[in-house]
Amino acid sequence: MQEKIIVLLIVYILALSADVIKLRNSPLRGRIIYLGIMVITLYFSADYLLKAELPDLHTFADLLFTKPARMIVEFLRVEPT
Amino acid sequence: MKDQETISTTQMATLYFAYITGSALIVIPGPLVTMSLNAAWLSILISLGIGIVLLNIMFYLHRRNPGLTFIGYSSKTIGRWPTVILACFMLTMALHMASGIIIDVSGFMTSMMLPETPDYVFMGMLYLLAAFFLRGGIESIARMFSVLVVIVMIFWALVLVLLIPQYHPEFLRPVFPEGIKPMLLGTYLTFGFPYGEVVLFAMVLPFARAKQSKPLKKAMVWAMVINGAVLIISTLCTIMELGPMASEKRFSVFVLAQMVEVGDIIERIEAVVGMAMLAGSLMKATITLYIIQLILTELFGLRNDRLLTNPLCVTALLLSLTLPATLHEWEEMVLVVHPIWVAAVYVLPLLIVAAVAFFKDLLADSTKEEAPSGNGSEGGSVK
Repeated sequence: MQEKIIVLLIVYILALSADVIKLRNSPLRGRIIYLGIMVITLYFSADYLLKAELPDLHTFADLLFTKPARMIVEFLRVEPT
Repeated sequence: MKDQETISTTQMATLYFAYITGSALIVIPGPLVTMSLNAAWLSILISLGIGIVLLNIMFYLHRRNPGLTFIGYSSKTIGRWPTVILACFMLTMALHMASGIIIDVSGFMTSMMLPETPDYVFMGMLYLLAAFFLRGGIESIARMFSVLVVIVMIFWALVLVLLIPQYHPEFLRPVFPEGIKPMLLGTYLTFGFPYGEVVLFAMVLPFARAKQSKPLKKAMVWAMVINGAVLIISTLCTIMELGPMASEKRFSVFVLAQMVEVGDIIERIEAVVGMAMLAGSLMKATITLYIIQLILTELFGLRNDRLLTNPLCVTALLLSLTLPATLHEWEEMVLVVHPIWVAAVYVLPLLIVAAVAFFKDLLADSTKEEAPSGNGSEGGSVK
């Protein structure tokens, strides 16, 4: 857990420190989008720290595509003779 | 007014080659041979044909809407809000790609070279590099990758040539030991990765210098053909060298490099090949992140296209660290779900936009044909 916190701190400090001046000079819309994406990264950070298996991209893909994909692969797979 | 960055036809074709070959060289041969057995090269040929068709559709839309990205002409053709919905779906796969490429590289490094090193070290360093590339812009990316592609290909060719005395061509037959279905299964895999992913590259086409559409299309088709040749040769060499064991080796090109031994002088070159494979994956990840950045910039109407570089790299890094719960789940996502996901969120939107554009052109042509018969009756009344 401590290791993960250090990793996240390093990542956020590197990312934000490089953009502080740029963000101050950016229009409001850019700042809102930037901060919106960083809020989304906080969600993934929580998932990483807690190993909580929170809903993510694969949850979306699972819901829509896993069943038909498995059907296609099962149809085309052949047991070796 | 900001000057648009542009790159030459050769640089665009090189970027495209890096995009479709980059990580395919590591990931494709092993699982493809598992799925298609000795018909793997035929699977690549069929999906290459599908890829070239998709490329032609992309160029039809590109010529019809010069200077516009896929988001731009999609908004023009089908409207803003349908484009936003399609773009959101595209972004799911694009983010999966950007994180998945690095997951595969990290898996390669921890399983083959540095097993004690934590994943976040490789992932963090690669995304840091990618962020530097993204901040440099498409011109810097194109210049740098033109050199990297040559290095990757030289090492790839070196490994395969040095193994010539050890190949067993008899391992290539029979081509259809279990019938035609394994070949179709391999086509399903290679359609999803890498040939279905070419659609995303439509976002980068406007950066080619103006009035170079025809030579650009020719160069990019050639880039695809060379990519197909590279993957087919890699797969054939994998089968000829490893035989029945080919399906058990996940990173087959690296395994081939481990087997190189010429006298007692040239051996243990797998580290250098590993470096080349890392470079290939980094190129594809960078281009994918650049495209995601472009999509978001256009969707939100931002003026500074480099503002979102760091948040995107942080997002991709965290996705790489959190996405695969287990190895089995990751393999199923890449080998089973990925192709149908690509078809739904990349290929289908391209076909929809192309179909609407085509019918709009037809309607416009038929309207133009009707108009002159109305003008003739007015203009003919000379006395």
